Amino acid sequence: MAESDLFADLRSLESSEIQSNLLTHEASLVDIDAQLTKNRTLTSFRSSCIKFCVGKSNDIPSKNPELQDDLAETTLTKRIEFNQFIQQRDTLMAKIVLPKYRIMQRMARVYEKLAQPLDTSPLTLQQEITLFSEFFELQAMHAQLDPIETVEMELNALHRQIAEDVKAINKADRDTAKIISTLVEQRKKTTREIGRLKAFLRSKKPKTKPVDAGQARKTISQGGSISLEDLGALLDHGGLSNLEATKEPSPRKKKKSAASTTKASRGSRDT
Amino acid sequence: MQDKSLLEVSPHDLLGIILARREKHASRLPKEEKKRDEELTRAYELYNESKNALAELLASTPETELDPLARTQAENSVEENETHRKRVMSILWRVRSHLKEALAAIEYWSAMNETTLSTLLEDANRVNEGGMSTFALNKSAANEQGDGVHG
Repeated sequence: MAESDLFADLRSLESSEIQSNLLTHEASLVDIDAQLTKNRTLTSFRSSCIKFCVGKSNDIPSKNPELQDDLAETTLTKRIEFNQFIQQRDTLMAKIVLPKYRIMQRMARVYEKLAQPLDTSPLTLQQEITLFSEFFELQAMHAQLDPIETVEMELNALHRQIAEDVKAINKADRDTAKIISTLVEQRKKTTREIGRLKAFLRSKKPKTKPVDAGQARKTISQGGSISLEDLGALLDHGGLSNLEATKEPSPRKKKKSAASTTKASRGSRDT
Repeated sequence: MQDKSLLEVSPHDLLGIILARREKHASRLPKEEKKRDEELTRAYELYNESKNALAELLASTPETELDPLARTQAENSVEENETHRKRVMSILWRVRSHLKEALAAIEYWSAMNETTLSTLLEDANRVNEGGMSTFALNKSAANEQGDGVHG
């Protein structure tokens, strides 16, 4: 199977053109990264918003004006308002305890006891006094609970709005997830293209001949001059310390070695 | 009474209702007392008659010749009349007690002034000023007691 040329489209282009192309892609990568960061932050913010708005978390996500997600921020404000109403209602209920309908039931019973003919079940004076006080306390409790109706109405309206907003945020988040997925794909392509362009540019650079360390060593041992590259190569391959070892043995030393051979040897005689 | 009307009842309205009811009740009680008093007098007479009859029976006939049936009947009559007398007396005491209570109540409610009324409306005023209701105070006290027990 024949391998296709990875750089086919680049071969006809000038280096400067490829360089410019590379710069464009690098700028595009920076842009994609910025968009990815922004969208991921947005998704994270929305996720925190939804958690807070549905009551799964008590931590209020900090608003980020750069995200410009008006819907999430508005919903956040609504939920904060909702929580304030809940607190207002709970504080009031903690003081009053009984709901309005129970107060009315109790008031009717107390009134009946105080107003019905005494022949059936006469009350003592003390019982009458207690019931009299209770009747007007119940009346006051009922009056204190009047704002609760407004609070309950607000709570219901806000609850409905928040539920709808959360749906809309979820939908927007799904759209953002699609954008993130596209951006990730774009990033992959851009990174690959940058790599390809860089590889092509590297392949087009003029190659320098590798320095032959052996040749340099030979030259220096013969008293010749070497270039800086040759010196570098020499240093990489053992340096100058083993330069002597490569010298050819001197004839004087050879002779001395021959004279000192006095050992008997089998098979051949020197004389 | 309708819910809305209950919310419009003022302390003076309720005071008037209680007083009127007490006076109406109290007006009937002396008559009732007189009736029960007469009934008690009759019950005493019956009791005394039956008691005397039994005493006569025991005195007129020697113990050995005494008809047991006649004796039992006389004794039962005494016991029955005694029970009736006690019951009538109890009713009379109850009526007298009601009358006494009614007169005291009429005196109390008639003499109601703003100071006493404000004492009676103390809890209502506390709630009106944003304070805790008696129900909330009781609940909180019960919770504290519960915590104390479990703590």
